[in-house]
Amino acid sequence: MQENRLYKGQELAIKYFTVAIVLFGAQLLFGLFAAIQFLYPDFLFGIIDFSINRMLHINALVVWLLYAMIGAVYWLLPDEAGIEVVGIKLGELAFYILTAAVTVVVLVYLLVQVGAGNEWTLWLITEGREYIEAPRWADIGIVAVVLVFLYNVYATVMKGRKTGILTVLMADLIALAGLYLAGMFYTDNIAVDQFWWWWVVHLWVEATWEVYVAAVGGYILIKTLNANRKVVEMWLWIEVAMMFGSGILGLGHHYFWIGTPEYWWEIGALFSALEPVPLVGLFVHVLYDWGKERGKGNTIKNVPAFAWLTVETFGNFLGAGVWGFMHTLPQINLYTHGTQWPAAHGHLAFFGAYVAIMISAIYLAVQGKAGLKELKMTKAGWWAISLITVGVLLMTVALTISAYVQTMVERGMYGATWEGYFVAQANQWFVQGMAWRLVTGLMVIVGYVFLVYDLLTCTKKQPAEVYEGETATATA
Amino acid sequence: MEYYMQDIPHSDFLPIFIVSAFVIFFGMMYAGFFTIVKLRLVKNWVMILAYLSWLALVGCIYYLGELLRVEPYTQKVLLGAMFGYLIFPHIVYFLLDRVHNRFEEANH
Repeated sequence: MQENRLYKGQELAIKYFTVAIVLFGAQLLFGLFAAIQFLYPDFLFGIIDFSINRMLHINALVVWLLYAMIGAVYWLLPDEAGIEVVGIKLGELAFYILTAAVTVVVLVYLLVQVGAGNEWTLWLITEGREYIEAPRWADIGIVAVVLVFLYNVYATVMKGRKTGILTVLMADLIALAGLYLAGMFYTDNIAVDQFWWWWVVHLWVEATWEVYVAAVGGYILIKTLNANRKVVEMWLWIEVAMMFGSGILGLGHHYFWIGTPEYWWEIGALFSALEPVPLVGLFVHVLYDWGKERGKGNTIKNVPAFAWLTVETFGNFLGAGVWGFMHTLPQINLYTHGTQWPAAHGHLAFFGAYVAIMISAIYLAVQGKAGLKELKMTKAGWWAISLITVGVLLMTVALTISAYVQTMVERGMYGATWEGYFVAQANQWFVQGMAWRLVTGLMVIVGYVFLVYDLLTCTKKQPAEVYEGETATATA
Repeated sequence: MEYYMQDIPHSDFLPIFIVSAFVIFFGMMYAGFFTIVKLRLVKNWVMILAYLSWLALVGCIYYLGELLRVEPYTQKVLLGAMFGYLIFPHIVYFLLDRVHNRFEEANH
């Protein structure tokens, strides 16, 4: 099997995907350390503090997802536009700068774990904002890299074919990048500071990332099922329209904590519950189209990518929808905030809504790189998807049990007191929930090992008929 | 009269979590049944299940509002939103139907 000819943009995409998978591993490793420290607080005491583990766990998540998202855009951009990415050399330079910056930031987190906080801390070590804790120098670097990325996208689309998917992505990426600016300045008033900070991550995950997922998901459906482009793109516009309601208004469910008027609470809760609807609609409709085409000999062109996309659809519904709505209305969030409830919701929602679709996009690149017309699921691929998905689902259940104990004991019975906190932490149900979280975390890590192995080897383990159908170019 | 958030007795926590989950569940059941009937994947009578799901959704939202002790005005807004949700899939289907017809006509 010979290496396939790819656009330079797609070669760059593979670099982004590679770093993304490495960072995914780092996320799981630091998550494992943190899970052990919940049960055995002495574990790695004085070497890696729990606060650093947790910070690396969640920042690695955000950064690897952004790497994979940028990678997916570089993969589909030349394919959709029909031309090479404009300014690709600049894009490649930006990749190396970004990767070097991420490495330095992580090393600083590990080497400078405690110390006095002053103005230099903000510039050189961490800004201390959950999820986007990069120091200011890295913030500025990230903005520069993203500007190059936006230049690549805009210049390419202007010169090449302008598809609906690319048009939506162009608008979405501006909003996605622009929102990052809201988390870059510091105000002395912590409430005001938190207000802007909320905007970054929450308008990312509940608006711009959702639109991004719909666009990339649409592209994957076209590639894996030969879905009707017009149908996919029409749903994409509905998704964009719904985002104005469900994403932006849905953000209101967080406003309880930052002093905005009370009417935001119900507005936020109601609209955020609608977020998964358009994605599920897109999936159902495309499945229907595929069902009609199947009789004409139309097969799934990339089974692993399609399987992960299926996980994405239902994971998004369960994690973002069901687990989100269970604890997010302000009246009950008063008792659940700061417990394991958001952790249960966050794990399943991030996995369901974003992790699964990024793995799906990576499988698409694996197929394209090898130049295979079809990609079947291998045994390692099945083990990976089963262990990771079941592991995260069970982890969510374990965290929910611990969360319920905290809500009942710490918040309900003891009224959120210091004493209540410790009584809840010592409760055997809470501790057992944490233990099961560790077990299920290990399950996810084993699944990750299978995933990496499969990504590296799956193209060599395909049935003979797949090789017979090798394409001349992946981008055709 | 100004409304203040009411304390919730901890005996209500579990029903709140369960009913909240059912809000999303029945909401999706309504949209799901509606979709598969409209796509002609199942027989038309299944649409009854869609509307029963919607009724269950309304019941859950109402009960959730009671459990959360929301103010009467909000309760009305939430139930009004449920009527919006009732017609939402119809609007989406209408749009889809039009798009399909347009493309099919264009293809012939």
